[in-house]
Amino acid sequence: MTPAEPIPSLLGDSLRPVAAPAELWDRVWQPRMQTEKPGLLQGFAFGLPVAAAAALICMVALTDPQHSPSGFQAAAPVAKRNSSEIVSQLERRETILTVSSGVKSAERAPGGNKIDAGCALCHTL
Amino acid sequence: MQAPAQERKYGETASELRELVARCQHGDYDAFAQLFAGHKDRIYSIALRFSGDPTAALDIAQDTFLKLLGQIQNFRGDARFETWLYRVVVNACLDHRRARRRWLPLIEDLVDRVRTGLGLENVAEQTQLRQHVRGAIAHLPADQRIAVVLRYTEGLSYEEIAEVTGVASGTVASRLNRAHHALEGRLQDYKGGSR
Repeated sequence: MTPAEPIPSLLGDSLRPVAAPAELWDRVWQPRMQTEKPGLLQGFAFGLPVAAAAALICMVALTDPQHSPSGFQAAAPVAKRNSSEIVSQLERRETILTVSSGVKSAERAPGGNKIDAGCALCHTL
Repeated sequence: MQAPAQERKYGETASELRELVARCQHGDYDAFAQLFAGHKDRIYSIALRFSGDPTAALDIAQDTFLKLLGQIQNFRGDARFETWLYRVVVNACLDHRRARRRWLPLIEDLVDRVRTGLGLENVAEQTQLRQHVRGAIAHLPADQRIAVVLRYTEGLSYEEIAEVTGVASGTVASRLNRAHHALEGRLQDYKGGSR
């Protein structure tokens, strides 16, 4: 390459692609990792539906002070149907998270009373 | 003698690239990592050749990939992925230029050095000529500079540059022609001084 070469040749030589520095990966990835950390908003996004479900279960269950099956059965048909759906949703979750000035977790013991689990959630709020 | 086989990156064929993009759109970070590996050099090169500054190039490349990650849901496959990606990096370059609005007076510095004869004996002439050319490019208007970088760093055709920048091929030809004339004028000093 000499100064006398035509412009396109000079440009082709001077503007060749280069390798990106390894630092670029960190700079792209680090902001992502920071935003991936669970934040309060994410906790609320997950916790609010769970809290609403727990409140509904408690509303039904509190018709019987002992949380007995008879109390559950005596609940209004619509509320009973709603609570059944919620219980079946809860069954699919091994860990139930709820929110109370942060996030508390409550694990439902295998074979435990589903209504009690719902009430426990509600009472943590 | 056969040249050693180069390591092939996943995503080089059109179908692999489509699959990678689809996986990215579903939030697959491994796919994004592969997409990053396949395009980081060209994105950084465009940014570096446009800005003339490694630090600014890193900023531009970072912005480009963050925009890519944020906007990949909007990619519908109407254009080629590379064309879409070039648009993102070109916009990042222009955004960065708007944000900084200050460029190092490389050419004046180099012209002074040529005129006074400083540094010529210690620096390889070819390296200096390249620096001089890059310094001259930094003085081109942004639209001409983008056309030059896409043409000479990426080897895009006039039609491809037109698609990326959203202008007619004739406009691209005109911009490149004006850029060539401007560079020729700026390099006259160097040519005269180095003889």
